[in-house]
Amino acid sequence: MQGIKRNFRWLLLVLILSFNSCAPALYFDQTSISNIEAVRQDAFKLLDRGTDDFSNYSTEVNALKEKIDQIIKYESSKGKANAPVVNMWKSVKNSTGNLVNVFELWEKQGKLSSAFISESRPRIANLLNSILIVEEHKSKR
Amino acid sequence: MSDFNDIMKEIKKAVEVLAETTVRKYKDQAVKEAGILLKTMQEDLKRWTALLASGAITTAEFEWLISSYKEEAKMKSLEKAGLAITRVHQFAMGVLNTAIDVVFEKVLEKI
Repeated sequence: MQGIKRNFRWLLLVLILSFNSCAPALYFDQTSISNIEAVRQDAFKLLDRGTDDFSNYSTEVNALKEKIDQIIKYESSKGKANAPVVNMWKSVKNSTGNLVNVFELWEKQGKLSSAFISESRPRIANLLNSILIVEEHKSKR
Repeated sequence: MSDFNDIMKEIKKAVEVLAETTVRKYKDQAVKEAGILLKTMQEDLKRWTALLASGAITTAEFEWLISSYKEEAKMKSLEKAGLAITRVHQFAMGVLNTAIDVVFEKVLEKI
């Protein structure tokens, strides 16, 4: 009887572990949180330089774009359940009125106005905050 | 700022025409939703219009700021979807844990 009891417990343990390992998208991931913070920090640091000529910062802007590409790959690897987060990052990268589009505007104009920098800052913070909210609400293992 | 009030009236009129031509069947709902959105962004719109008029921001910068509202709406809807998936998962895990607890309590104790 003790053997059956022990085997049954092992079986349940294996089932729970299998369920967990199939769904990394559903669990809290400190790397995802750190990625959001890093992008926010880099973006604001660059935005603060927006009144300078873009050509002085094109390398840093390209590095930020590459970082976002890496994040999209990382988040995509977590599976279909992570589609909302992946789509949010894709919007950050590709959509008009989102983060990377600010740097495209900077490149196009050569410089950004200081008034625009002040006004766009809270808008960008809002946009990135949506990703943070989803990540922070994921289950802790 | 009477100029801005005129601008808002113009926008509302244009929205009604847009709703009539694009979502005629749901015009009333669309106009209502648009009214809520315009009310939410009214203060920002007022400030950005003044900045544009004074030449403090460019037309492209003004367009980015307005577009950021569209993006915010998109990000919020994806945020809701992400939170819904998390809640369903947490509920499923709760069900599993409850099942395990009940089995341990009711069955294994008898073995």
